[in-house]
Amino acid sequence: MLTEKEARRIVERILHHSRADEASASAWWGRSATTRFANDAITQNVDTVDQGISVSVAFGKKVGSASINTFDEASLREVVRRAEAIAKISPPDPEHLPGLPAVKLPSLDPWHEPTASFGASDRARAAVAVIAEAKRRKLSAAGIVENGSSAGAFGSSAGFFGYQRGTSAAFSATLTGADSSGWVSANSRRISDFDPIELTKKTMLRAELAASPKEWVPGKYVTILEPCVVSPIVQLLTWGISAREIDAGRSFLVGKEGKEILPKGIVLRSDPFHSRLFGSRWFGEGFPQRKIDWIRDGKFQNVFYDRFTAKKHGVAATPWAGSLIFEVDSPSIQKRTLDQMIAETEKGILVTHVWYIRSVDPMKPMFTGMTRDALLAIEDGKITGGLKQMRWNENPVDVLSSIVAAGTPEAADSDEGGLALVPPLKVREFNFTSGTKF
Amino acid sequence: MKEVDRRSFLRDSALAVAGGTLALGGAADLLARGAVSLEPLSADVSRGLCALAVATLRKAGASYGDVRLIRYRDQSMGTRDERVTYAHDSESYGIGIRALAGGAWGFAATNLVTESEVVRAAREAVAVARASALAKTDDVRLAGEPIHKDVFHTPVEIDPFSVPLDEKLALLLRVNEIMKKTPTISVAEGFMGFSRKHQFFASTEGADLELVVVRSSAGFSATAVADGDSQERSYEAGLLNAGWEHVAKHDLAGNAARIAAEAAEKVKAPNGPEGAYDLILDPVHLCLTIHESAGHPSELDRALGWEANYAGTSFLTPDQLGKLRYGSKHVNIVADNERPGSLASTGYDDEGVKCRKEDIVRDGMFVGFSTTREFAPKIGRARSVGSCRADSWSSIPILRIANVGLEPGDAKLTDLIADTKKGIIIEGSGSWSIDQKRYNFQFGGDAFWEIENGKKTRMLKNVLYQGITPEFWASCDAVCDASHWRPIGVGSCGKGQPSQSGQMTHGSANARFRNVSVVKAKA
Repeated sequence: MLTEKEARRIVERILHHSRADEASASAWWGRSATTRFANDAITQNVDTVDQGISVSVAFGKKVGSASINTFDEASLREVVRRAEAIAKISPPDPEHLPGLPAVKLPSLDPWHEPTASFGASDRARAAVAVIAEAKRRKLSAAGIVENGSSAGAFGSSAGFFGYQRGTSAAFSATLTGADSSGWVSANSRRISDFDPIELTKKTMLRAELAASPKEWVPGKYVTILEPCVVSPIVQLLTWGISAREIDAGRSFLVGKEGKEILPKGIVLRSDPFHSRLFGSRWFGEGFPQRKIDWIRDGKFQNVFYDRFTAKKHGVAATPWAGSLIFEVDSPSIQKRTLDQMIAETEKGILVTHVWYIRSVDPMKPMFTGMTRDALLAIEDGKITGGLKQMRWNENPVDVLSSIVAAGTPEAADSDEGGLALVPPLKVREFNFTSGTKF
Repeated sequence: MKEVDRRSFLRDSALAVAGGTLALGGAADLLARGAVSLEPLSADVSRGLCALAVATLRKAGASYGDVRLIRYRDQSMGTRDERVTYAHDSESYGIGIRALAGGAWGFAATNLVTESEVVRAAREAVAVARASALAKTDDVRLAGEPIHKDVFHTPVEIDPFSVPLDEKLALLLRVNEIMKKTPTISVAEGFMGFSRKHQFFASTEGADLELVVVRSSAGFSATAVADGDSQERSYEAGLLNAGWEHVAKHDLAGNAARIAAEAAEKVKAPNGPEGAYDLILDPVHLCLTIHESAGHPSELDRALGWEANYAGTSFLTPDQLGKLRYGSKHVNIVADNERPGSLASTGYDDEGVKCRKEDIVRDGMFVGFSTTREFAPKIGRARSVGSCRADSWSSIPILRIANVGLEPGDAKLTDLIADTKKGIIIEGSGSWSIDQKRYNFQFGGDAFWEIENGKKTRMLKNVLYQGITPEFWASCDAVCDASHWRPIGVGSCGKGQPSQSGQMTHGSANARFRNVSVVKAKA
């Protein structure tokens, strides 16, 4: 693994080799292993190691960059030479700013040794147990058990140096019956944060409930969104919230700066230090990472500012919106558990997975996507069966403006947006536009 | 064999360019102007390491194994308005080793290409395979393939790495300058990307292959802002296995003013209508349509449930081969990994199978899948199509869409337009989304023109259309002839866990589809 001592040595050698006015280097190392299964068998089993160094140099405002994935002295010298060759022939970049000095960084060491050392046999045993559990209920299992470890460092000739290491673990599974399926996904820094068997058991119930799916006419329905569905929808709000793009006139926030666009009581914030989220110690070229409110009191309190645009506006640079937490605390929105939301719904739809989300009109913003796996009908307070999948077109601002009930935030992973802490939500209407054949 | 390290490679390598050799003086000049110095892998050293990996696999008990030792060099650059936003050179070098042991697969990879690491990774691949064998239902069986020993280069007329970087950047900035002259153009952006993959492949069966794949792409876009809206219009010399000649042929500067003018017209254009319209789709647009609704459903691993947890399954199943009507009689879809320049035409795939050509849909009937050596036998095929590819030395090769394209017909575009009463011409790609079995889709585009009574009239914006795949392809009543046919590349197709990015080409000519449902996103 890339230790802090070795990372510092590599960065120092890069700076030593460079003849540019400024230089910076980003070094990383990673090991990732995935055991994949489908049709009740392990189909793929991989274990890879890679590393890399990316160098950026500047002669005045003439900038160039290069990267390589070997750390011997000749490679370090060569990657600097390549970056400098590019910088020397590039036109000056009017937005280039000097590097950042050394600064005290917040503490964060998301390393979990049992996760790092979880091996091929461990992953195989977990996969075998999930497959066996599914077989007991006559369901077929497909999914992954994954773990990894990584380390990264960034340093510059202006004095900044930062180092961080971390581990990660993931599990996801699709349990399939004759005409229905259920899906689950979990992601964390620690393999001990989730239990694949418990997750599988809950998911199998969904698959069974969704059997013999009926067709409902596409339209707007009262809809309950499980946390793994809320997670990608909430993250759609962060598309286009760049000050540079607002200035250029191509963001849904154009003309809405400082205005209330969501109900009060909705909060979207970043907490890179939360134990259940992925975060980092710094962002950009050397700013200490920090907690930040994106939405509060119905308004965007912050947007993404790159260094140059921040300087132009006279504000502090901000990180990209990651490590997200979404909370709802409003007297006009009921606090309910998922089961309570279902029990209080006369007619509605429970969505457990959304997929293939794409932008339709970034100025609204409007997105499209499909439901996937267990899509469940709710009638008179009970889940009465499965529904055939439907396409939806929605504006996340509209969705979050029609919340009638919200639960407690929990860690929710999604293959359309990644991990966030979000609650289940019940909304007055969700726009399903067309159906499909299954 | 002595330990081989990076320093030795640099020392042993000679400066060479595909198709020629640079004189030292010329090389120094090019290097000074930001050209990439090419240092091919030493063939003897590379083959030696691959042979060591193969020997280790055999000794560790693998029933089959293969090795890919690869060096990638990439050059990428981007511009926004008057700025170069990035200009980057990258290199990645490593070895990926696949093993079949106990009837199951294992894979290990490392960037440390030394004798000891190669041995370690080969042993690890076998250990991982044995762990996989704990949960197998059947032993993996591979379709046969002749043992190939060959050297293959994709076609290149002008090595893109020999073109000085400052010339490329100047061209992109010139394109932006032209576009920004058009009123309402708020943002002008451009990019270029070039890559060279040098791969050595060996297998326990005795295959010995050296592949050099060079790719080039370039493009630009203009964003117009007016009346509270913003709309983009793009132009691309899409990704191809080709050299600089591919970019030069596209005359980027010559198209810049037109693209900017169309963006400006689009932002003020009326929104697309709702209702049933005849659509005439251009090859750039059809690339994604074919990719999503023909390429993906015809991947055999998807059809058999192997991608159920991520990329999805398929409405096409093996029992439908030769029986399912996929589209009208005008629809002939071919997986062609032989056509020079197409992205999956690399001579041999990543398990040493010679790239081939095979029908997917013939006269509207579904007749074939993209396959690999593992999947071909599952539908009784004696040979793989040659669709097993990985996006890196560090990724395991998986089944990928081949160069799946729509064969040309015999129509002329001008005649098609003249023959259409109520229609919309769609160029380029925009929004795209499809369900996990590949039935229900919703697509947008980059530019739209209304057709009224046989005449192309005003531009439209925000046009979306929805369909169900076999119903959509059944509505195809005309495909233009070979003079309209163009190969368009997909640069990043996501599949697999861990996710990999695949590249393939989808060629087509303009085609018409009748009575397609054109929709508004939300009432």
